Amino acid sequence: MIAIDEDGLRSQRFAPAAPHGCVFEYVYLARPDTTIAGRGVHEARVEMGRTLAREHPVEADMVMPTPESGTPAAIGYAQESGIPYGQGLVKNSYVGRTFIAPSQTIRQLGIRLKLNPLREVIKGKRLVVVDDTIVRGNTQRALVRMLREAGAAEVHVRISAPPVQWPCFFGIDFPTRAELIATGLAVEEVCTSIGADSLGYISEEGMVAATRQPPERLCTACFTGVYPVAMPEDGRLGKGVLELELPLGGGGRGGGGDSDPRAVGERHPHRQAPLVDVPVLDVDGVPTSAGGGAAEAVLRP
Amino acid sequence: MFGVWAPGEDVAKLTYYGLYALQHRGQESAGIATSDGKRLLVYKDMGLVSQVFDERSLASLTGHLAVGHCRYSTTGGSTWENAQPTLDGHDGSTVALAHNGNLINAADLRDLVAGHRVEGHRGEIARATPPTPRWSPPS
Ligand code: SF4
Repeated sequence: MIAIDEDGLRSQRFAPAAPHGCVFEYVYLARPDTTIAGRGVHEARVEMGRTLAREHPVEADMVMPTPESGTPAAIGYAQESGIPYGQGLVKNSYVGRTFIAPSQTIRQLGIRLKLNPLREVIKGKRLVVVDDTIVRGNTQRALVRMLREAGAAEVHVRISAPPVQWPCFFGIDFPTRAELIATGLAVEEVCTSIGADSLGYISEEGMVAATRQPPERLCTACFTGVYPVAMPEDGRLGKGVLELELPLGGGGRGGGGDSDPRAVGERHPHRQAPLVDVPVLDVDGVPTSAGGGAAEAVLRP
Repeated sequence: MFGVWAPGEDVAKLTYYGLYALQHRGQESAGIATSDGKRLLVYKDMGLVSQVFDERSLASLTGHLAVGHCRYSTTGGSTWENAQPTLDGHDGSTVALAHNGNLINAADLRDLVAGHRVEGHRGEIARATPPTPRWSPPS
């Protein structure tokens, strides 16, 4: 615990520390100019790209990122493979959250609102496209099609994280397992689904090694299903857990005596978080405001 | 999250630029709480940091200490009520709280807290936080 006041800054330990830092910070979440536990995030991502090139080599003419998040790993892939690095896509960084719900016509533009191909760069080339994760697969599918339409001869997709197969209960709002493309499909099937010529994910070991953290100090649950702490039972987890009627199960007396924590490291059978809102999505697929739907209407003051 | 203790500085603006640098951590809502040690002010709304604040709202946030938050919702819907910092307390003391991450035993904590509260508050933090934590800073 850190306190900052007129007496300055000081810290106090109030419980033994058993940190399991989020490996996804190194893959995607953190700003690249961050250093976490002594490891620069940009450098870790470049290293993941190098590892990816060793684990999944391919003959190609150009390595390009999905901007911005795929850039460091693409640089690493290019360095290790010797294939030239290039910029085949331009990103509009200002689309962001407009707070204006797109009309159906605009929604159909899909990723074109954000990403546009540079035809002269792409035409006739065999491309290695490096991205950090595949979640639902919709973005990559649209991207591969867009690159082919722009004249790419081949599109090889390389991902600098292993397949995301499990929900995160610690601060990432991944879709439910049913919506994660990698839960039901093998790598070749995902490859077919997104329409790529080949697909390669970095190994879990490769990703962890690139962070230079001891594996036991990291959480990798969304990739492995092994959670670093005992998880509450289904129904006492998820985004809507505090918005169901009080009390949820403890009878209001506290202590949560009827919860049944699973052992540390055990796979959690959770499949579907309680669905609270079905919000209007903007062009990024982000809710434009407080969600709608009857469930949430109950919660409004 | 961003926090600052800086007598003589415009802490609201420091916090604004702190949140601006942290915009990638959450893009659904943003808020800043400031205090002069006696009074607490909170301004929060749905949107990006740059959409929520302007010169006028920042000028109204006075004091020498501040906390700020930009939210990406993982427990509790993306609503104004759940935007942070949250403000709560009881007669005599008030706390503005900015919090990151999930408490995975939130449901248990909520049940525990429900037994202590006069009336239930809606919202992830309000319902998972005991009324005004009484904590003396280590010296
Ligand atoms: S499950 Fe663990 S590794 Fe995955 S995003 Fe959540 S905290 Fe990070």
